[in-house]
Amino acid sequence: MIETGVMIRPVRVFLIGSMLAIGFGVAMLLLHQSDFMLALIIFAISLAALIGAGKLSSP
Amino acid sequence: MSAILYIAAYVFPAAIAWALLAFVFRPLQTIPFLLPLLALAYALWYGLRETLGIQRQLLGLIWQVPSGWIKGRPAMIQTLIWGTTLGPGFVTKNPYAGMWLLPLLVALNHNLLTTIIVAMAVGSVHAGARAIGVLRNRRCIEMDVSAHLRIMSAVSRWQYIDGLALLLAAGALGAYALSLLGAHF
Repeated sequence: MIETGVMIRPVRVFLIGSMLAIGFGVAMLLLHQSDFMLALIIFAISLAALIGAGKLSSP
Repeated sequence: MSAILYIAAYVFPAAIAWALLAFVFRPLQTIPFLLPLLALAYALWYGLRETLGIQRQLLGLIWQVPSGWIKGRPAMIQTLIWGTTLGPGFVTKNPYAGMWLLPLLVALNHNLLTTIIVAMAVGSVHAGARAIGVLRNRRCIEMDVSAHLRIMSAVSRWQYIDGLALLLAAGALGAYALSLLGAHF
């Protein structure tokens, strides 16, 4: 049911705005504390894991 | 073949390939604002497209490992070929736009050693996750013949999550780009 809910257009638009705002806000805090690059590295590694795990299996 | 060896066959070539990529991006790091703005534009564009479900085109090569490379070879050699070609993630099909944001994020580090280490970490993690995914999918298909249909339908769900991650990155990169332009928070 949750999965169906997040697919409808208004929810998608809400999530788009939320993700942009959260990313911007968190980055502002991290830049203020000079931890932005470290957080970016952690994010890149996490994204790599997500993408690698999400790809279809090869034969 | 043990799972550890299978995963290693993916991880080691990927770490080397991504380390080499760090050198490819080195010249671009000298151009002010180029990489942050490129990464921001990419993340925003494809984040929107994937989250709205309008990204249909695969962002990658449609090249596949020729069967002649695999047929008749010992299992270990076949695994090494799969690992070398699929582990780094640069060739063959790629359903997720986030894949091509990764090199841009890695290259945002200006220190060469840091860039190489981060690149190797990103490549290794991608390859390891890919290998584990392959092993898991094989086990699912062995237990349930129709599992491949569920695996295929999961791609759109992963794309959606990838899109949200790209938007998160876009927001962060927007703040970073503003800070480079002199905005103070």
